[in-house]
Amino acid sequence: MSTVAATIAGASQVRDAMSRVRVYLRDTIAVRTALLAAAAGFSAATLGQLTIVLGVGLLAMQLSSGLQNMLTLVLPVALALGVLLWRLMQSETVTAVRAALWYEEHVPSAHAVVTLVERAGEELSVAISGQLARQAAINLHDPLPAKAQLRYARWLAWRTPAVVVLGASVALFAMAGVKSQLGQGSVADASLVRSAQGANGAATAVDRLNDWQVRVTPPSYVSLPVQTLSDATTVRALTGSRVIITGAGDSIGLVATLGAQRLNVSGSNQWQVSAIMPTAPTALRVSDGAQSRILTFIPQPDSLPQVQLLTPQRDSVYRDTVGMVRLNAQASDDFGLRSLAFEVILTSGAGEQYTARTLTLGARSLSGAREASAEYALSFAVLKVAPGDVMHVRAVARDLHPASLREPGVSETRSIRFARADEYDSVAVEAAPPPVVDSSMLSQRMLLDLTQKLEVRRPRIAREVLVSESRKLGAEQARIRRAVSAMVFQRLTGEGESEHVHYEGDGHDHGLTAQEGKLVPSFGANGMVAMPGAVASGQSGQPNNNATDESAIVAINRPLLEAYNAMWDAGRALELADPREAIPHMRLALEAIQRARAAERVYLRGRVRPIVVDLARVRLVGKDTGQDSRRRAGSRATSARELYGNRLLRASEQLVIDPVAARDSLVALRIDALSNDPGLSAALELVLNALQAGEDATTPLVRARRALIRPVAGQGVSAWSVP
Amino acid sequence: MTARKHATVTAMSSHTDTPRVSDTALVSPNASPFVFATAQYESGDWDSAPSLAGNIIDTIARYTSLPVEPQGAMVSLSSNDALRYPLLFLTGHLPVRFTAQEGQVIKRYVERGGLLFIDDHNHDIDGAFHKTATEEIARLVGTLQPLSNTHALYSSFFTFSDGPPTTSHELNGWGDNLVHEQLLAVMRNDRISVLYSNKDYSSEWNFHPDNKRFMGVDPTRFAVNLVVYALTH
Repeated sequence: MSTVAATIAGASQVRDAMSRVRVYLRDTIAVRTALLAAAAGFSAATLGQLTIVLGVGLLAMQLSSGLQNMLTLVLPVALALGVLLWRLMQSETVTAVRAALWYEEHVPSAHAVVTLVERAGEELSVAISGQLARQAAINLHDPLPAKAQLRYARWLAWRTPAVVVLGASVALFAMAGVKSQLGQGSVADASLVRSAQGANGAATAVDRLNDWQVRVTPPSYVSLPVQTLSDATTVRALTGSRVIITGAGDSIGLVATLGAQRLNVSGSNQWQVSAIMPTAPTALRVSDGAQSRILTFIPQPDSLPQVQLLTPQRDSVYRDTVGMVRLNAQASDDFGLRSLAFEVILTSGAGEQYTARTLTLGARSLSGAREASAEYALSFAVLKVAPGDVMHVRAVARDLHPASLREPGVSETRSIRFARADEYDSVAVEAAPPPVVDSSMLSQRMLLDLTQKLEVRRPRIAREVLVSESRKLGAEQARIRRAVSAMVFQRLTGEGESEHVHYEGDGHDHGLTAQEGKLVPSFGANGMVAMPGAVASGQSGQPNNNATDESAIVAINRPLLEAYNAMWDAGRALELADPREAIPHMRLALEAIQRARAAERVYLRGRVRPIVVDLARVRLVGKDTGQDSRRRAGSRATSARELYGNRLLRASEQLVIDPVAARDSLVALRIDALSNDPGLSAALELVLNALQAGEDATTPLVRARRALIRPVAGQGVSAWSVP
Repeated sequence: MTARKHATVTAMSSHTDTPRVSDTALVSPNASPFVFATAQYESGDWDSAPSLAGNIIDTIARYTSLPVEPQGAMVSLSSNDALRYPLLFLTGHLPVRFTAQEGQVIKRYVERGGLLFIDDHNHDIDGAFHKTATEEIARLVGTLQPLSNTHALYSSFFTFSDGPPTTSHELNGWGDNLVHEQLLAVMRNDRISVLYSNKDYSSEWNFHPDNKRFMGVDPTRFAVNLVVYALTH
């Protein structure tokens, strides 16, 4: 081969070799650019995933699925594309000269390559060219150092981004697992879950939570039907009901919580969650990756039975320990009653010795009735009640709830106390209810029954028989009417029958007047009822200025007055042998007596005398008076007249401040003075008349004051020898 | 109540120029002295220890500087007036069944931080008072639990290292013939809201205060702890 030909052949060989190096370098740069973009994207995705895990798992933040997608998908992809674009814009084209330069730089034995490539079209001296070409060809034909340098350069270019991509990928998978454990999987996580769904992998996370079915099974004791709800958001059910939620798809990856309680999710083709309706409103949350759905549990409680003790209606004090009390109660429940009974606690004893007996009486087994009533005749003799005993009565009902610690429904408690024989000697006097009313009521009821029977027999009996029997009943009716009358007048006057007996038409004014046989309240000139005190003192007919309505006297007796008048009408009809006409009046009388029985009664009870502690004495900070404790004669006892005088003075001063109160005081003073100072009482009567008429009361007041200083005849030396 | 406010003011006093104290706390302790209140209820004999109030007032005046009313009050549990007293004393022998109104007032009283002290005058855990009263408290407030004998109540003024002091009724074997080692309580926010005693302090403390001079040890000292605890916790 000639020198020129050898030179040309060597140059061509060099250029071919540089072309291969150029391709090699270009591919290396392209792959490095892709790796850098991937490294940026995976790094961003890892950071986003880390943000989600920290925010949701540690800080309990609520991140929306959109934000999660932005962090884990959109931003990383955008960053990767940006890096890719930036690298493409920054990179220069790998020309043959650049490839030759790189070659000469990295392969020390190579030289003249760049010159040969650059002067590929120029005229060179044959000698030089031939020498260069030969040398270059020799270098190029020595593959060992060139290949090693190329591979090393590629390793250097790819190493860092490849490591970043690999590390970020591993971290991404690790955090996806963590987030799945937290029940807040990301979109990527959800896709992993879906990929693990096997044959039904086509069902997405959203699909599994949609269109679920809720089945509510109430507790067996209420006998309510099973309820099925489709795609419900709220469940209202009795506390203790079993609630089963089912949905399409398997249970892998589903997390269910009821409040703070984790529930088990089961099923392969259809997932299912079972829960018991709690006592308080709670949310059931089912999570599927990033998706979750809430079912609100609204419990409806099983109310305790409502129990009402109808009789006895009030607390009572019984004078005797004989007889009986009728207990009546009614109960209702929302789902059904199991039992109803009366609970009686009988406490006996005094001082430090008390014994108590708890009895359950009149128990009824109700087996699920919604409403029920019970009654029981409680005999005192059976309980062996003794004076001083206290009986607490209440009705107790249990519903069908099976819990052993379930509370029963109870009524209000009535206390029945049995008086001691000696307690009427003390200040703790508690007035017993008038027993006469009860006997009257019984008699009136019997009489009504007899009259009704007579009315039934009326078509079948002769007129003479009817008249005879009806008049007998009329006589009985009159007897009861007189008994009621005696009680009314006893209340009005406060006197017993054995003393100064009052009755209608006795000539006294009792606040009642007889009109056609009936009693109606009588009123004074100002519409006020006459006072019984005035009756007793013989000063009848005076208006009671202290009374403001008829409540004081008549209201207490009004039911008995109604009974009296109804009895009068009934008796008249019976006397006329017309039982049909008498029956409505007799019923009215019976109802009035029952109202009188149930009237509110006030029992006076002595107040405990309080101890007032001398704090200065206890704390030893009191002052010593320096005087001995020798007893001295006390001051003169204040006479009744002085007291009256003080009261009269105060009432007079109060007339300009509070006329009504002053008038009341004067009325009270007049009443007090009636018995021991008639003169003052008469003077005060004039004062009150003047005030009532709106006249100037100065003169009567002066007379009243003078009446107080008027001397009276002494009755000898007083018991205390004080003049 | 006022004393508690006074304690609050003291605790809140700081070295700053303008201490931040609400107006409600700025009430002079002398404005309303402590009133020993006896609870009055419909069922049972609520007034079975009539001399107890005066005796406790005497004890408070004797051992403490607390401003105290010389006379106790009897307050109906049916009335919201009960809410005005930081300590309510309730006793009796007979069954206790609170009316609906009384139950509401008791609930409100406990919620507002009052201390209801219930003492079984029967000293008998098998007695009607104990059974019914504990039932009612469980129904209204919560279940009574034994109170630790190292509780702050036993060191709030006098120190009772063995817990609640025994009574002569226990030691003499009356009632249930038991020496009750602990009191029962319903706690609310780490504070006693209902204190229940089977020890019959009602009998132990039910005497005229002048008779203390015949006693070696004043049995009513534990009442001071009760009052101080109620006013400062």
